[in-house]
Amino acid sequence: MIRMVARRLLALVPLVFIVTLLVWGLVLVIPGDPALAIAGDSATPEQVEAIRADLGLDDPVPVRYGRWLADAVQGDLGTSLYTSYSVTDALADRLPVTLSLVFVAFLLAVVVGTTIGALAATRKGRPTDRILTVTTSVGLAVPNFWLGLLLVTFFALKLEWFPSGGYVPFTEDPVGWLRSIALPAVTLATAVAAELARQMRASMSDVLERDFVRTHRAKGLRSSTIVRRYALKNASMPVITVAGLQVARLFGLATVVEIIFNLNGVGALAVDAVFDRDIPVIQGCVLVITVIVLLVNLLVDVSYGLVNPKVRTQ
Amino acid sequence: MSDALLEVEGLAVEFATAQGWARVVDDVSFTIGRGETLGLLGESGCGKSVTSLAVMGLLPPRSSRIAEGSIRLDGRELRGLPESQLSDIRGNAVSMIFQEPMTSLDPAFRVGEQIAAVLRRHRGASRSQARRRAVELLELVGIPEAARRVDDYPHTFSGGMRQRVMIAIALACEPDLLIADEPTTALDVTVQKQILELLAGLQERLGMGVLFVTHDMGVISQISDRVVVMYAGQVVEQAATEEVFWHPQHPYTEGLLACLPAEHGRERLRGIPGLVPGPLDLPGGCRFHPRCHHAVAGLCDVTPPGLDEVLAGHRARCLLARDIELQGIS
Repeated sequence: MIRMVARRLLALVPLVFIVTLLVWGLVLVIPGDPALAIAGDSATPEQVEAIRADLGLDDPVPVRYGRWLADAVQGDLGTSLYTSYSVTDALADRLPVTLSLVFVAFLLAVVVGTTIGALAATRKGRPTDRILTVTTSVGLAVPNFWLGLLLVTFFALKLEWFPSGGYVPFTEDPVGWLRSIALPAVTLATAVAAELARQMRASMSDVLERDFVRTHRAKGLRSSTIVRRYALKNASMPVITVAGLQVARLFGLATVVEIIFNLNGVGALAVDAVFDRDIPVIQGCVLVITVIVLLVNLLVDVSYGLVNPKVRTQ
Repeated sequence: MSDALLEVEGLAVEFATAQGWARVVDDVSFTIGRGETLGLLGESGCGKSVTSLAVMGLLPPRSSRIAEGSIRLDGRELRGLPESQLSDIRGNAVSMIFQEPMTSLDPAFRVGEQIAAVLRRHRGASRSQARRRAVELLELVGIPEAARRVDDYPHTFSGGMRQRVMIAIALACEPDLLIADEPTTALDVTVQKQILELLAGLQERLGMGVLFVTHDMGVISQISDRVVVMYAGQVVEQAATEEVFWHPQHPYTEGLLACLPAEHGRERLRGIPGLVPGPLDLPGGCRFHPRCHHAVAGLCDVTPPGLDEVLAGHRARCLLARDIELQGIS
């Protein structure tokens, strides 16, 4: 098991290298000259040239990439073209917000989604199943910006149970943190929970038809034990794979949710950076999120090995 | 007052179809005594597996039902018992092993855990007690290095070894009755022989009754005391094993015997023409008459035969049983 993790970590190195190439390559394909943008409309060609030289934009492409990579490896992702803040500092500021949001949403989606899916599968074809299936279809179809606004209107503005926006760091006030993250997390989790519920329903109904479930029944085990202890572990295998893919999706969807709930996360940072053509910030955001997603996928693969003994022995 | 372990009487099982309830098992009766092995013989689709699942209370709920009859274990009626009481009996007083050893074990759990689960369920054994007993059971069914193998997963076992594990699970609570549904069909011939010998040996040791379901005449002759032959959901012949083999009283049984390759290389391999009819298109009269070369027009296609005692202790469902001479094996 440990060897497998070590091997997979090693395999990440070339992958991350390719990602850096792509991320950095953005500079070359994005239209517009950052030097021009910084200098402003009234700048003389000499001023623009001076800024270009200052940013090192005149050097050959491999040299520029090498310089950026060497800095990035040391944790220096450059400086924002506009605010002249360090990108690394900006990310360190914003990352906890996005990570909290995605983590809570993922946890919520997994727990709610798999429970609904498993329940529907054990009641297949009966009213409970039909109601849950319709519910998940709605969950998949609802646009999350609309759901977010709906939740804010009802739970924040009308009932005043939760704040309507803003982020409270966990280290400052754990309860406040949970309250500040609750509505955004629910908004973010809905579609993913619905997706996982569908996967779990399909997987669980398949498992419940298998021969070994009949064996468990022939042993006299109670239905609840068979479903919770045995079938769930078997049924979770394909669901874990899907859940891993959903993490990347959560980071993407988080961007919208952060803006709706006025959370200063990485997603909001990236959106601002895109509008400003602030390339170092875009690069930093994409790189960090990509690495996080890769690590999460590694975690997912490891947990897949935990439920599937065949993977472990290979 | 009978000393029968299992009494099945007038059992009828129906399955839901688009055309309504289809009767796949009709008026099936038999008994099994303690320590006795009853062979339940028939082609695929004749209702033998459904019969055994009915005894286990494992018929799919909602899509199937026991329409008539009774199933008594030690005199206690099982039909209509709530699931909670049935599950107390399953794996405890009555156990079952299945045709497919490759898929009948849970791939995500260690074999020891799967054996231990029965003991913990019915015997309230502690974790360590159950584990120790699991090792003993694996030794009992002839798995080498049982103490190490107990922690292995099913995919590291061969088909024959998995069937041994299944037997260990079935025997964990020393049941009174073991139902074996084609336990050797999916196995190599050499492994088949080992499993049959293992089952016979364990039966003698534990004194349990066995309902052995198979389509294999050869296997039946080796293991069972009495034979029940089923065709299209009905019992067509019932007698002691030698009786059935030497003096079959039903043309269907004769046909099955003719399917056995004869000894000394003399080719006598014959089949039975046609197919088993489905439960929704049963022929009138005797259900076997379209495939029967003894059938008499105007009689066999009109009058449904009853299961009558033709010879002492030998029943057959054939209108002509007393009139025709059938060939057994000599």
